[in-house]
Amino acid sequence: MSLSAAPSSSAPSGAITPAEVDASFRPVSLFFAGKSTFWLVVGALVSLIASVKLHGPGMMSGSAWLTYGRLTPAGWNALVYGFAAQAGMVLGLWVLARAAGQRLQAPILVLAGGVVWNLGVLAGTVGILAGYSTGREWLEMPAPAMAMLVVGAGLIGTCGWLTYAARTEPDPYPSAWFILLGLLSFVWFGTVALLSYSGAGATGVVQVLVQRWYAGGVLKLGLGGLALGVLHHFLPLVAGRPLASRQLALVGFWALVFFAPWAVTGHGDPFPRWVVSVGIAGQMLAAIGWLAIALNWWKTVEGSGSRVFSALPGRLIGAAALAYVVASALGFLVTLRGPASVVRFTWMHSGLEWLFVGGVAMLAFLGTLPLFVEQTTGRRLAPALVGAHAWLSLVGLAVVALAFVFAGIAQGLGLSSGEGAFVDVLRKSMHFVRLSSLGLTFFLLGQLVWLVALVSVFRGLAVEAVVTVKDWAAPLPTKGAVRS
Amino acid sequence: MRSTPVIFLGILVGLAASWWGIVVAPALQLGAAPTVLSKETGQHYPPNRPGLAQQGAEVYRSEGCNVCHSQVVRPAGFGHDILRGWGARRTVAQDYLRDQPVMLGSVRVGPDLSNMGIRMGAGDTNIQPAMVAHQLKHLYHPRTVMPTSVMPAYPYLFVRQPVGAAPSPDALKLEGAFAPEAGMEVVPTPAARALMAYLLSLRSTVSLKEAPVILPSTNDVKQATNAAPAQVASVP
Repeated sequence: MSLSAAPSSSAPSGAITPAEVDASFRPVSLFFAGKSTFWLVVGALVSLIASVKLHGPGMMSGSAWLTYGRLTPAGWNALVYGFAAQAGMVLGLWVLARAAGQRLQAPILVLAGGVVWNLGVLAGTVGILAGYSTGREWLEMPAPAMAMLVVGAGLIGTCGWLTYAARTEPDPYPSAWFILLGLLSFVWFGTVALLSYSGAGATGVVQVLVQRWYAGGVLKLGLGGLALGVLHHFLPLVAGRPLASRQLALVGFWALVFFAPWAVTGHGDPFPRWVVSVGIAGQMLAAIGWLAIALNWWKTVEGSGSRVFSALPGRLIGAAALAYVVASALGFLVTLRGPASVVRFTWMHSGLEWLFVGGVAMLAFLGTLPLFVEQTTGRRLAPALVGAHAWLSLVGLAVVALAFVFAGIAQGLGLSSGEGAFVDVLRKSMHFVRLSSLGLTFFLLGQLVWLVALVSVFRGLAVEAVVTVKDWAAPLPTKGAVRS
Repeated sequence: MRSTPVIFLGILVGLAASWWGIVVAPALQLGAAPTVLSKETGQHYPPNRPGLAQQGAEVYRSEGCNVCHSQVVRPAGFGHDILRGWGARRTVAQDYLRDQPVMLGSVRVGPDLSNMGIRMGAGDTNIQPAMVAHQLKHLYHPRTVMPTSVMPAYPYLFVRQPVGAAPSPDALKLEGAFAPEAGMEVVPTPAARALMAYLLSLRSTVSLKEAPVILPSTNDVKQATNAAPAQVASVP
């Protein structure tokens, strides 16, 4: 079973080597690494300022640009679109190209898409801070900015599909399907949401349904698809074993596509009753997907858990996979009637978002971004910095997500006990919320360390040497004959 | 799963199905929903928002009030929204017919505002002016009226100006550390006034067929948890 670096026997002769694939990313890798890191630092900083303002609500209150209601969505949008989606798309393309055994197709389009995307994020975050938020969660960016994101994702996504269509590997690794789903999702959900809100579009609560459908789609299928692709690629690599089952990956994939986007409602929502029921049913059925994925991962790493967590990037990959299972299970649990009556409309919402965006997507991408930079530029990052970045990111994100989850439980139990004034219940939950500021501080420090590591590559200070990475340049471990 | 078109079309079918079920079908059902004539009030519900209140909705959106305040009351027996005094009945689709955008909110860092207008005594000339003055003070600096509040202060929605021949009628009555220096007064900007008009317009109490108002026995109603109604008496 130890197939870690064994060349795939099924690889056709004349196939493109992983090193050639990596080289094809050279024109785009530093652009995306640099831009996504910029937004990562900005998003972490803005989120930290917003969080600290909860402790001292009177501070920095003189400027509308710095009010909590603007800082919070601005920071979140910078993290989600500026970092997670952007880094996820380029890392996804990389995993896709590796799985497909093909060089990145039309890198100029990827670059063009990246430029449009970043201008969109810039216009969007500044727009929110300036008071032009749309008031719709995850869609706060003004429509023109959101349209730029859709165009950018379209250009980048097209290259992904082109690369896949030109594959030399006849039956690519399952990671490829998830990446293709992620790339398509940003365009699909973004386009439909924009059209729904334009002209004589959605009225009344249909606006909320569009917004929730968009947010859930971008979260679970967009960011989720990219993160799952990255995890399906790297988890077998860090475990040194092939993915346990292609069939389970297939079940997980199609359940994600067909059920997860329906999960947009909860008990007591002001929608027609059948919509609420359908939404809850979607959440229940989506469990088939994450359970299949979790089982598959478990069978893949079973017995080699210590190997996964013994070093980087395994630590972050393993943690992201774990976070996916925890976030999915928790999301399932809080949809059930009993727990929902307690934790709906509490900090639990923020906790789940951080668990999924931070714990799953960001950890998966933060863990593989250094690898991507090293592989595609041939320059080595300072190991001490990469290690410090990983620990600070891991601890920071874990503290933020868990702090909000526990704050939500405390707030929900307090509110549903019917005892105590609202403000007193809230103050009890604020102890946990304060912890999240500590987590965000760790997280920001980690990203500043990463910025230093990356800048050293930019400035050519890093040792110029083709990294000897036999583990990472090797094809994925396979079970010999490719099964369809 | 070998063929690119199979994956592409499969994904597209999956995504289009959820779009149809979650967006299109509800839009077909609700898109042309009419206002309903209320027997109690003899008026159509929900009413059109007055122009100033509509401007206030834009302030609410722009400042991101929905980041911390929800506008949804869950049904009795599901959470304690009604027992907390946030509404006489659950909110339903009909209540949001005129809202653009609808800002339900997701996290209650502050109390629910679905019926803020009721709590501010909208239309009651004995209560409304005092409550508006109270809420303006709260908006200027929440700790002036509730020392433990975590709500941000919004001094930029107010103007600090020299007192003219006579104090402005809507100048905030601020005390202690919050009071402006002698000869100065703090008055709300048009944006703050519009926001008040919007809050006054938040009322979801008309009895509807799908959400009738059932008056609870007074024993069931815990003290309303938004401090504002409890403090009406203390407002000068």
